[in-house]
Amino acid sequence: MTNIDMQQIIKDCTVAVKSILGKSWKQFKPYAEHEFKKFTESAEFLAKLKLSGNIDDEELDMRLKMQELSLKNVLLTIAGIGIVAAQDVINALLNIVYGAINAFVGGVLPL
Amino acid sequence: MATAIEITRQRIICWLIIVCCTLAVSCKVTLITGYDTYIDETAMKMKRDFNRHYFRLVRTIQDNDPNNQNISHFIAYYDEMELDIMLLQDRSKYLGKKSTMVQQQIANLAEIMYTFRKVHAAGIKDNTGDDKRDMQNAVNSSLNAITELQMALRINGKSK
Repeated sequence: MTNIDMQQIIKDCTVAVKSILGKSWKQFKPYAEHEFKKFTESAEFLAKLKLSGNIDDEELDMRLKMQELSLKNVLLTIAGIGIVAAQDVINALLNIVYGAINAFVGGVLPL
Repeated sequence: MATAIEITRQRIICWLIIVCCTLAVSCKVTLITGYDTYIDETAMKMKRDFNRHYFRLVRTIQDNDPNNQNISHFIAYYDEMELDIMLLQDRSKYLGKKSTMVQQQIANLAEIMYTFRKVHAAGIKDNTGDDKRDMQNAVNSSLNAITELQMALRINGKSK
């Protein structure tokens, strides 16, 4: 019976984490930047409308509320994608560890 | 003596492996769910409908007819919007415990859409330089956020 190679497992786990998190960040970075830029532009536009007297306080409140809710949705998406990435990392690590144990005991754990 | 220690060590390892086997009946960990084909498709449909509505509305506030932007001319769109929101809310109710993020997004979207209608109902003047682009951005960002999260959940985030 061969020993479990802990060094190799740790190395495989590190490579898996880096690959998954890197891919995930690359995936949503342009999206996040684009949405934050739009939010800033909208806030600036609303400030100008208020200063020029085009909209009153009530309308400003309603339109700011829309911005706030929309930003919440964007942040929920970013958090959600982060959780999906964490989930992928956990499952990849379980796969590596169980794979190593399976090799050791002869395929008992589900992969 | 050394052999006895070695045997005990091997027994402990064997027990640990058995415990791991027992715990690992379900190997996949699920932290978030909420993918739903209907929600995904409806969000895309709502985006198309909303932008068509927005462009029509903007056209009416850039002319000299002060009445054609009245909400009464846009009732068909708001009825359709109301129906889409109602169906999204119904659908999100059954997504499961790990889908609170998607449910919250739908609740936020509903509030944004109703606020848009409220601003429209309050009346919009012609040619003020206010084309309501911030509201268009808010609606589009909110719908994009839903479809982006749905895309991320499509593979491993289906509600059971």
